[in-house]
Amino acid sequence: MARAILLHKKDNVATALTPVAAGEDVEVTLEDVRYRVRVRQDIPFAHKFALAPIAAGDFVFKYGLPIGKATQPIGVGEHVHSHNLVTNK
Amino acid sequence: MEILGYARPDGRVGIRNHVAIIYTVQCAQLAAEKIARAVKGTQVLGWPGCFVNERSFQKLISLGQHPNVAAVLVVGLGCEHMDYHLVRDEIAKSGKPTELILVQEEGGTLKTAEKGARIAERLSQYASTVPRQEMSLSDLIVGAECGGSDATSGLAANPSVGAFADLLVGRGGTMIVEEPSELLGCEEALAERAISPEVGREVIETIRACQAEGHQVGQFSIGPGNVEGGLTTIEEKSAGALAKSGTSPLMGVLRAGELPPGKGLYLLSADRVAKKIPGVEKRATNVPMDQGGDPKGVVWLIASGAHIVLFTTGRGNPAGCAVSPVIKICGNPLTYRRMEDNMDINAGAIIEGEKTVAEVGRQIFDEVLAVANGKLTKAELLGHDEY
Repeated sequence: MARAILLHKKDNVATALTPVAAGEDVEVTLEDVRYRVRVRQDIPFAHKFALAPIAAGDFVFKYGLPIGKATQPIGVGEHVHSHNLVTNK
Repeated sequence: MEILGYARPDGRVGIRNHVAIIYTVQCAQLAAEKIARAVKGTQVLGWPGCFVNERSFQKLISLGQHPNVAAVLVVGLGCEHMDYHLVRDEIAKSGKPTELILVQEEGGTLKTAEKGARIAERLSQYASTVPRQEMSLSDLIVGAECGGSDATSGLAANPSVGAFADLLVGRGGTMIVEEPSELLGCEEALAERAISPEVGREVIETIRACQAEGHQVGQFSIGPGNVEGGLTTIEEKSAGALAKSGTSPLMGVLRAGELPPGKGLYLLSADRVAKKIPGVEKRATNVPMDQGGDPKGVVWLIASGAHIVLFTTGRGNPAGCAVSPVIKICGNPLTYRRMEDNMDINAGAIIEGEKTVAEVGRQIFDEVLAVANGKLTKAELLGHDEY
């Protein structure tokens, strides 16, 4: 089964469908969009990791919508959560 | 013919045929329950508080007028703030048989229960003779609510409901989604889907009002359990909730008790009532009260005419409703297996990679059609008749 899900082509994060260990390679596809990412930290079930480099202050996209702003640079495969992503509301 | 419904005198068509026994204060609840126990085909609902507000009137009137209800018996005590005459008269405007008895007038619980049961027997027999009417999917109104959510809600259950919403709206039907307080950050995306600039502005104003309220109380609708489950921001949780709406254009914003004026997708903002009911101001207070929790959202979707409510969950929620069937869609495969007695659709198959969102959307579509034609949901089978 798929280890992670990409919910919208515009997204720069994927969501883990199982726990993923640091160092594992994960593939996510959505129609013609395909990423292969080496995960940098342990990602718990349903948590997010970056598919592309995200600069500090950039929007993080999930479902094709901005879900907040990065507070620091986020590298490909890094866990994206409260430590590096804040609400824009 | 897609659905065989029940014709109502006001032209609306129902998919259930209940006799509603509506109590207007907690002191009359037991009499109402005794009546319902005595006569088949009845459902109890009501308002327990003695003090009332506009929403309590609106709730009882909207549910009494609902096309899933064939006839109504209002059971009052006799001294409550709720104007039971007004409740009866407003429901009776729908043309359905509507009667009223009062515990103080009848001489107590037992006498009320006995007389009420005779009335209910007559109403239930009337209901059994109501003519059936063909209805199509374009006559159907389906509501969507989420509760007992976990991370799978936004990944599996809500997107499946969105896929269903597109199928229903594509067939000319009507879909209502709820909870603007859980759409923060989605206002622009949803406004872009609005059918007109006016509706777009209303969407933005409605959601921003919820945001302002969140700032005022210092809390958005995202809790520690959500964050532990991988949701970082209110925008992220909202985007997962928005997935229930699919991709159709948004036709309008409804207020509590307001029926959709046309077909298509609507957003319900149940925090404000639709319009003043003449006479209510004499009794209604500013007491800010309503039932809490997700059954409340289900009730307001039904008050806006929903024939069926799709309820997405991850942690598991058993609640149903006295007036309209509630279909439980579980995004978490473990919860589905643990609580299968309460769950109708396993959207967890998406998480396990066995089905796609589109496939579960289609499964929901088939289930809605079956339930509209009389198939009982798990909540109905178990008597989860919350209100």
